[in-house]
Amino acid sequence: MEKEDIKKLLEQLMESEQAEQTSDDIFSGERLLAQRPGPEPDEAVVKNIKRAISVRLAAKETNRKRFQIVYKAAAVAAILAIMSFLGTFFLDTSSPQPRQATETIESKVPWESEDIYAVDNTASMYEDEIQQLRIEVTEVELGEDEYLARSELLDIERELTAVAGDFWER
Amino acid sequence: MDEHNDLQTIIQGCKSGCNDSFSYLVDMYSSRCYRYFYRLTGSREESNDLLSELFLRLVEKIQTYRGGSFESWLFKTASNLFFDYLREKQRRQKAFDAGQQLIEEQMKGKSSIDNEYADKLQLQLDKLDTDTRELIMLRFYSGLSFRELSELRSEPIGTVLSKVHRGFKKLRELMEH
Repeated sequence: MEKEDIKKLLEQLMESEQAEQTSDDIFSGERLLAQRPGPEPDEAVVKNIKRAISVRLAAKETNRKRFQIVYKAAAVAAILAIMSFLGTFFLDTSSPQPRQATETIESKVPWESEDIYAVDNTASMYEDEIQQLRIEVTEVELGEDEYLARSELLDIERELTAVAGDFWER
Repeated sequence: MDEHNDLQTIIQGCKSGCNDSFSYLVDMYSSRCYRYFYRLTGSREESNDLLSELFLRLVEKIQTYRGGSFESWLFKTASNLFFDYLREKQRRQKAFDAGQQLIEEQMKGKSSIDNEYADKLQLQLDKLDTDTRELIMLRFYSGLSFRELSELRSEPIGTVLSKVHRGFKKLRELMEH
């Protein structure tokens, strides 16, 4: 059967007669090898191979299990990391912490405008003085002695200047 | 269960990492593979090493077997292993630059053949070129058809037939003298 197949193959490449001769050459060559098959491997060698395979398989199994453990640990770590990430950005509803800049303002230094009563007192005092001066100016303007009136007017002007100066100094 | 199904069951066992299945595989193929290596190297020691390496490679590569002729897949692995071994041997020889000529002369004297075990066939096989010798041994020990050999070696079937024919013809002539 095999010879027939080889002959057919060869007939596609050469003349029928030549194909017959070539196939005969091939089969006689194979018979030559079949008569001298060569040595068998030592039993000890075969046993060693089987033992080596057994060791290799055990090592592969160990590596496979180690890989599975590492893979599972990595998967858990990844899940935890993702949950932590999501928790930071979506689950934390508390208000943000005050900015540091607001804390740096010294709270012990009084703001001038905070002492409202003291400012009011000062203002009312000046208002009283101004009112008094107005009255005096009116009296001078209505006065009989021109000289006296002029000197009093100068005094009033000085007082007004002094009051104004004190006001802005405060 | 026929022989083919038996082999497929064993291969499936090997793929699952079953130690017994690999033992069966070693029992089935160690003899043919060992003889294949021996006829190529002429050395029992080197054949032992190559045989061990072959089956350890199978442990690593068995997952890549995707069906088809297992003999074809196995002997392709064996063939690649042999040519790897040959390249490594040549590389080592080149490393001895100063003594290269001396080594080549020694190699011509067939120093690599185990004289204790060598038969006449082995001595004559060594006179064939490596490529033809490997092809003939592949054909004989793997039991592959010429079509399968053609696919395995990525060569036209006519080239394979021609090489085998010329190799056998020369071998017969050498054996007759």
